[in-house]
Amino acid sequence: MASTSTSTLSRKLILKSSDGEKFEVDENVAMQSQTIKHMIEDLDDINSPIPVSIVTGTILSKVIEYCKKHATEDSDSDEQLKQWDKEYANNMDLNTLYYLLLAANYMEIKGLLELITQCVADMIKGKSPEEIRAHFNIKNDFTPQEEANIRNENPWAFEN
Amino acid sequence: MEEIADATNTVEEQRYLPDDLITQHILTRLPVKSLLQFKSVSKQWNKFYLFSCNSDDSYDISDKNLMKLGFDFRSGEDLVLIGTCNGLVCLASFSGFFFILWNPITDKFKKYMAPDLSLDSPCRVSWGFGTDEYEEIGFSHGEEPIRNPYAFHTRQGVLVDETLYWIVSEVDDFGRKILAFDLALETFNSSVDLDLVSDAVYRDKFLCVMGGCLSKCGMNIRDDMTISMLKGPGKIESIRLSRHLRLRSCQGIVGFKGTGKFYVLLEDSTIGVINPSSKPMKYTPILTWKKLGKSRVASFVPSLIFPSTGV
Repeated sequence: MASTSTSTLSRKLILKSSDGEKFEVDENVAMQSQTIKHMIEDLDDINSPIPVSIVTGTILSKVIEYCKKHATEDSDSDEQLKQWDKEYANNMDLNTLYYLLLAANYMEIKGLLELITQCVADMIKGKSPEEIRAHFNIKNDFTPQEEANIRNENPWAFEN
Repeated sequence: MEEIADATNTVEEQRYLPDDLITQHILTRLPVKSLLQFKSVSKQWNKFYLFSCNSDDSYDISDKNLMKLGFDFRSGEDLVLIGTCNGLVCLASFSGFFFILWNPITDKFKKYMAPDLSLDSPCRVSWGFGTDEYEEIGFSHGEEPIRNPYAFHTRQGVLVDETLYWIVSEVDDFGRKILAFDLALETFNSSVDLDLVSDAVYRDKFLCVMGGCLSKCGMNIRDDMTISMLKGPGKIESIRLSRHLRLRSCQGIVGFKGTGKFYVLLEDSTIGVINPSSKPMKYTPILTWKKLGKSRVASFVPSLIFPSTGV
């Protein structure tokens, strides 16, 4: 099947990642990012690459994958789209997920941000404080006494 | 050699997430139990809990997510719900002679006697509840009669920006107005930028808070409801709710969502949600307490402050 005429209607934009990789995307795909939307409004020449300064090429390609899927409204039902979102998130390793979260936050893509934060929340829900520290690489800066005091404030929260 | 190995270990990136990502997007999706545990992760995380609240639209009141908080206190007197602030619930005896601060999460409470009231004094107590800082819990109870020049029409004060507001009238005058009490300065002030109207066709019924602004709500003779919000000095914006929504018995506005929707409480103990941006405006009843009789509703944000700290 030849692709339909929609591609000729939509303008193309070039996004440039922090490591210099360039991506050509339809305007309606890129406009899901509020940050890019605002950048385009201020831009005189939309043919010049738009820098997405803190996002690497690897991550940006994943972001674009998500935006493409959500830019075409008619093809899938809500159920199918949800299922797609779920698989999309499940296929990411922890590091990718973490950088995607930062990218979605920086690029202001509401749907992607919600998807990833829910995924992270589900991941850490049942975890102990020690596991949280390992998960986010956080240093425990409490003295043992301080930590014990906090635990004693709400002992029931630490019971299984 | 070992030193180098150590060095590369410590260089391993911290998965640093900005505070607002954690507090606004991740913690809001977690149950209270996890949140309490995570307080002991680090000093940074210990602070988070205080700021987390649900401001988005994904949480709706319904029978499913209603939780019953039972307060076990045999006082022999009817308790009245006064309000909540930072997760503490304030209750008072109906007569107003004592107050109780209760933390439903930890189930601890503390009782306070109203200091200057003796049981035989013929006074009625009006009150408001708010906190100044996390450590400092401020109480204010306007003691009405004789020596006070005001008669309180609302027992329950409305809290906006550390100031409590009541509807009052001066003793020798039937005109009603708004009285403000600044919790930080502990002063009363009756010149508030919001005027109350009461005439043959229109009457302001109650005060409320809408999106952080002091607001009043009134009805005209045809039962159209108007909510006027004081958005800045002298700057008032209004929402009109047509009589077709049948909100005649509206008692109060009990919660305002980030998206602009808000909850209203009707006289028959029904809570419904209003979406002012839909056209026409819509009112959807959500739930009714049939058995409980008259209800008082307060919005509630959980917190970990104990009633006993610093009071």
